[in-house]
Amino acid sequence: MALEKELATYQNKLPELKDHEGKFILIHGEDVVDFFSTYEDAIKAGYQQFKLDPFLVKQVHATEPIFYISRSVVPKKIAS
Amino acid sequence: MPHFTLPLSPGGPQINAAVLVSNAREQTLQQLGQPIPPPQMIRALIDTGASISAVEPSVLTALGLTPTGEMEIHTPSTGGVPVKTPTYDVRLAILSGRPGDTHFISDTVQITASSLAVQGIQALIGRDILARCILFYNGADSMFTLSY
Repeated sequence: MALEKELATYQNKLPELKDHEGKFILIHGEDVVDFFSTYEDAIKAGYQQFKLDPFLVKQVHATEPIFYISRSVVPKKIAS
Repeated sequence: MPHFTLPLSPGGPQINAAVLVSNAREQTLQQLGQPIPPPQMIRALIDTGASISAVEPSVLTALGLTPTGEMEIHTPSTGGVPVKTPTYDVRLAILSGRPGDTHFISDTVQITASSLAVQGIQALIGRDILARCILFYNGADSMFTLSY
């Protein structure tokens, strides 16, 4: 599964990330690389450092926000 | 402030748009000597009921994209519970259809992948993008205006 390792790293590190609430975290493998104020800056850093290798950019939230689409669409699921 | 006005289609406020690889990914592809996938021209619905924008998965496949994020999303199709879905970084251009006009361009936007083609569209422009625009829905005259 794409980003499986990075998502596990995020979940494992989440209790330590309270001071970074709202920031965008860049994770590569098991490494927390850095935090950024904007999504764009985090994506730029990800490509600059890891090229086309998988990396995760995610906004840090102690409680995961839920996004809504009221139209009946079928979102692509992350395989578990 | 650039803007355009278009007639409402039977499906609602629809626009032409182009989805491209993000600027950062394009620079990386250039550095690696790899080809840049051509822009994917799509038909998109402006959807104030979507808190996040979504693109048809085949469009993202054509761009050779892999996920760079994930989020939880809730739709009528998810059975009352949110599901984890991958997100992708793209560049999005909303095209007014008039030569010489300034297009709305976002160099790096986070979008989700959702199957939409059966509805005759390839993307939903949600409130994440509308947050940077003014949308005027003139139902009485069957038209809408987007300023950005």
